[in-house]
Amino acid sequence: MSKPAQRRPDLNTVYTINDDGSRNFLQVADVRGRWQRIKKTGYWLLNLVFVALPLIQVGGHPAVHIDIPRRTAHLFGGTFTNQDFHLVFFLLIGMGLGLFVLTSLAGRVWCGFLCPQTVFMEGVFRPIERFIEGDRFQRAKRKKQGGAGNTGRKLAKHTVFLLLAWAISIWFMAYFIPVRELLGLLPHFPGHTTALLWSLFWTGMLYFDYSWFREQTCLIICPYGRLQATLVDYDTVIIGYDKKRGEPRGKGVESGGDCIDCRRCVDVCPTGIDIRNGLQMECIGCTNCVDACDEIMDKIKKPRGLVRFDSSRGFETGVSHFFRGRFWIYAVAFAALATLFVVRVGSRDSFHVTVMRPRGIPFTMEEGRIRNLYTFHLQNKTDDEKVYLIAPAAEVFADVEGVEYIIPQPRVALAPLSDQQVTLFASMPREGYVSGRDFIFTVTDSATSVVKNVKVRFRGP
Amino acid sequence: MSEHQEPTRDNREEYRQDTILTHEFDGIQEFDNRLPNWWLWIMWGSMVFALLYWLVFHTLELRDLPRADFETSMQVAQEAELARMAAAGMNDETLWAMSQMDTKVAEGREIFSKHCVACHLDQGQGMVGPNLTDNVWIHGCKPMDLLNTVYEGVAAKGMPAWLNQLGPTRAQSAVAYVLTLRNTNVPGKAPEGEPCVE
Repeated sequence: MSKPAQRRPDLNTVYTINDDGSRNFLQVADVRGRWQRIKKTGYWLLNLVFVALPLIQVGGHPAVHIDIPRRTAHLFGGTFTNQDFHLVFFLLIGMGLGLFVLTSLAGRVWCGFLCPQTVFMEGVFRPIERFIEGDRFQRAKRKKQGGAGNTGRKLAKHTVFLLLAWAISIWFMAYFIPVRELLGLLPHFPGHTTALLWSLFWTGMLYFDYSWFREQTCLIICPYGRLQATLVDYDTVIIGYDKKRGEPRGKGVESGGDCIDCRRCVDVCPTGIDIRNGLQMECIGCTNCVDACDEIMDKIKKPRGLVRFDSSRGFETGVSHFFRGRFWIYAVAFAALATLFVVRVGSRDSFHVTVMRPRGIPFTMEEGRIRNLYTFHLQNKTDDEKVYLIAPAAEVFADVEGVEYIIPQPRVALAPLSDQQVTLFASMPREGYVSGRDFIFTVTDSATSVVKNVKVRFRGP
Repeated sequence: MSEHQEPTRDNREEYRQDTILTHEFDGIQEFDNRLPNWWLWIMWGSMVFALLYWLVFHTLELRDLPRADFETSMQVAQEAELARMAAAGMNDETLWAMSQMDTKVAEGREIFSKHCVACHLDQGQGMVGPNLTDNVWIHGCKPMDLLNTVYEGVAAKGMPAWLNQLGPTRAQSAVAYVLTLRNTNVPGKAPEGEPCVE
């Protein structure tokens, strides 16, 4: 058994890690083709969206502004307060299930086309590396030659990478601090230790990720990548190699299968696998090998699609069925969560009332009367000035003689998104008291006549 | 099962002999490939960090633990606030002076009518809270005593701490207004506490 001089990707090891644990840094070859065009367009659009969201104004706020100190979020014209935070549950679980649906149908479309890691890596950083240092062969040649030219290029690349990492980390902050304020804050960063350290930390993380760590993020850190084995099955459309058509592989067009073992599919792989070994944990569905192989098939005048999107069943039998049990389970769960989310978003209330009682003093006794003190916490969840009216519901306790209400502030004016605590009292004679009964107060939005009934227990001896 | 076994593999090149571990569960075996070095470095780094943290925070106690650090910061902030008030000349005399200023008193009246009336009633005659119109006081009758009571509250009796809700300036205005109520003797809740001796 003679060892070949060069290591090749296999199923038993991670190709990007050498035997001694050191990194096998990939030099990915250029690739052209129809999937690349689709991806590039997508990367441009997604980068545009990333830059544009904090800039576009919807209803007087940035399209996305998550205001952590004020515990509000402005999302595409909708205003959400801390009271709406439970919606995040529906959003995250719903998005997760949406990803399950997509994965069960078409594998790692998210990873190859949509994930920020990929979008920045393949859409921004790798093209810059390619521009400054040249293609795979030029990079290898320059590395061999060394010298000032090579060092200069490396220096230029890393400078650009650092600046970009810094710009991205700053722009990400614009999702939390409106751009205008952020630009005003930037000059203060050097004097503000926390802000400086955080921005440097994220700059460093991004720089480390895109300059060196790269596919290791997808292979070892990303939890979604690790879930693949449970989401993908025999009928999932994946990127695969048509063994029946390709084998036996070999040099020479007439020597058997269609695969001429040119290894283009390996050279273009950003995670360092040989797709001909079948579906592997490392595959992020980037389509590079599909385009690379199609180009070769065109050259040797064989039909395209030796490496293509198909299901495992499709590769073996030529028949695929997409809408199977797994898909329907994911789809129904996703539809349920999405519906719940939409309904909950649509029906969220415009103001919120919480009732609090003084700690340790459920009631006081005064001249034969029982008195309860309630503190109403009113929260205006809209972007408008509001006046709320507090009143006791008339019909409750109509049967008890001498019930009195003291509502010192029956009209509560609240600025947009502000809140206030209002104290009020209810009292009744000792004789009339029956335990276990509730008062009901109405809080009315004077502009919209939306009424909330607030039920409070009347406590006594 | 032998210690080293030739694994099945479907690529042609035999790059190296893999180590396969002897245990097996449901036909699943595992390789003994080496961890990435960056991963090992994270592990060693975490160990070193833990050791240093333990030494610095728990053994040598060179630095405060987060809770103590938080409490220290809060104390520093409170002292700074007190110092700021002292620097702004906040004392009995300035509060008395404020109670003579129409703008302050007007602001204080508004705050009072919003937040205080519920317990002290509209003229300060008291109901749940004590009567503010006599000259008998429970928690001290000096203006700074009043301010302190408003700032800190009296949790046992249901008086909230207002410093966080109102902020120092507005709480001071409220106290300035309350000082104008003194000795107006509106009939209301019976006097409680100690008569004021100045």
